[in-house]
Amino acid sequence: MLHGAAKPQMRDAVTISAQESVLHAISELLIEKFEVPADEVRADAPMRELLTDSLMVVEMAIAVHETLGVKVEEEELRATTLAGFAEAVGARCTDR
Amino acid sequence: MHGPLSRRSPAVTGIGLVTPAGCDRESTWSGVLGGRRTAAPDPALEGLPVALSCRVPELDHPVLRRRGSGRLDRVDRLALAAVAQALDQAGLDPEQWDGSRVAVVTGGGMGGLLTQDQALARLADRGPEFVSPYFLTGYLINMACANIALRFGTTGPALSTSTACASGTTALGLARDLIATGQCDIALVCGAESAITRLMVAGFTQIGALSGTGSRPFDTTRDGFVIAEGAGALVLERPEHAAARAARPLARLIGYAASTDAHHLVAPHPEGRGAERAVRAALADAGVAPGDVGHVNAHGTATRQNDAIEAGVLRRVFPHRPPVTSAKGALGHTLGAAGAIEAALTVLALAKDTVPPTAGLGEPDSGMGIDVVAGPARAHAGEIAVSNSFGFGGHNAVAVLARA
Repeated sequence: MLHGAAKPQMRDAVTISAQESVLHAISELLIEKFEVPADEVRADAPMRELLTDSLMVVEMAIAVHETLGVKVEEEELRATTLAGFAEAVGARCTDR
Repeated sequence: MHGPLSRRSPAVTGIGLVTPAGCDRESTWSGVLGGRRTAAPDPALEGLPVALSCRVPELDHPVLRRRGSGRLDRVDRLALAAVAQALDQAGLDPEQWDGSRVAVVTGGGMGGLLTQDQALARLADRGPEFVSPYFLTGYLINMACANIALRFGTTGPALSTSTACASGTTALGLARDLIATGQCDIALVCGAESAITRLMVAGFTQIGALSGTGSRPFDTTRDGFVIAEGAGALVLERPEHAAARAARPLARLIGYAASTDAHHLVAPHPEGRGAERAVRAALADAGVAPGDVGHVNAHGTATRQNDAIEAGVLRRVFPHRPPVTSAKGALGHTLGAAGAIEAALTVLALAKDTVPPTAGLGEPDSGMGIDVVAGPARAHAGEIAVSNSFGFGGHNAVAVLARA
């Protein structure tokens, strides 16, 4: 379960795959910063349903930039699912 | 220009209080009644020449547990909690009412200062692209008003008033007028302020307004106010509207007036001319004589100037020496929220027929010639009471309340 699990440290990336770690970090942001109920934070949930207005989308882009060091466009954030978004961010995390 | 009397004297059908004495009406009343002083050294102000404040303890209310509440500025959280309490007491259900007949009038001096501080820090430390899109929704001074309207579904007129430390009372007067002119049946009035920041405390210190030792209104040794946060809410209702739903009024707002000193940006007029005009005009508006007033909830900030000048006004207008009290000895000075908090306390004083004491008053200043309640609370609050608010900028606002 994503909710309640210990926050992964980036140095643990050898034991947790980068993909899982990014999904976990974004899920945690959704629950803690955006107050999305934990049971709605599912991998197949469309991001536009999790972030219901444009200010939330901008705030998520800032939070991802800040916590994961990846710049994302608001449009790509809107157009995908949570898993899709985590994958896109994860790909750029490993590129660094 | 006088409309039907009832329209000009709305019923107060609910009040809500979130103050340093407690997060609800009962704990606030009991703290003020017991003369409990809430000022304490504030770790966030450490290193400043004045590091005392009065903070609201453990802010919590079901209305703040809804999604999206976490990112609200503290001033909006204080306001929502106070208004929710007031609506609850009034027995009004936002699911049931016609929201287009409900107005919101807020009073506040500052807006979301804590949000501004955070945004400034991010701009300086990380750059503009890291400034939150929620900076403006937290910072703008009308957002307490907008949050109340959004949360409770009110779609009538919504106004945010700012007359510095008179804002809460100005809001009350404006809300009264919205009802009197038929623009709404119900007005939610809320004074809210959360401005305990290092910059604000430094600023008030430079003006010489703050005490480093505690708030002692009307005391010989008084040396300034203690900065505080809080919110007070009152539900005003057209009397016929309240009667039609069998709501029991707590009190009536029977008079209001405002004036401006036009003397100095922050110093009050030395003879209190503007303040005196406001008090006399509010009594005339209510159609009552000075001798009808049973007690006065003074502005009583505990600055040298305010208390001396206000005492002079009260001495001249009320030669029968009604009991005078200041809540600022207990609660500190909640700035733009003070007028609404003190009007709510005045409603409680009338309803409970008790004038609370002025906390911190040990040695009444003998030169004042007024009867300030010190020590225990005083029985008999009278049928009619006056609540004064005077703000930086020379703003004077006075409300006259009557027992229901």
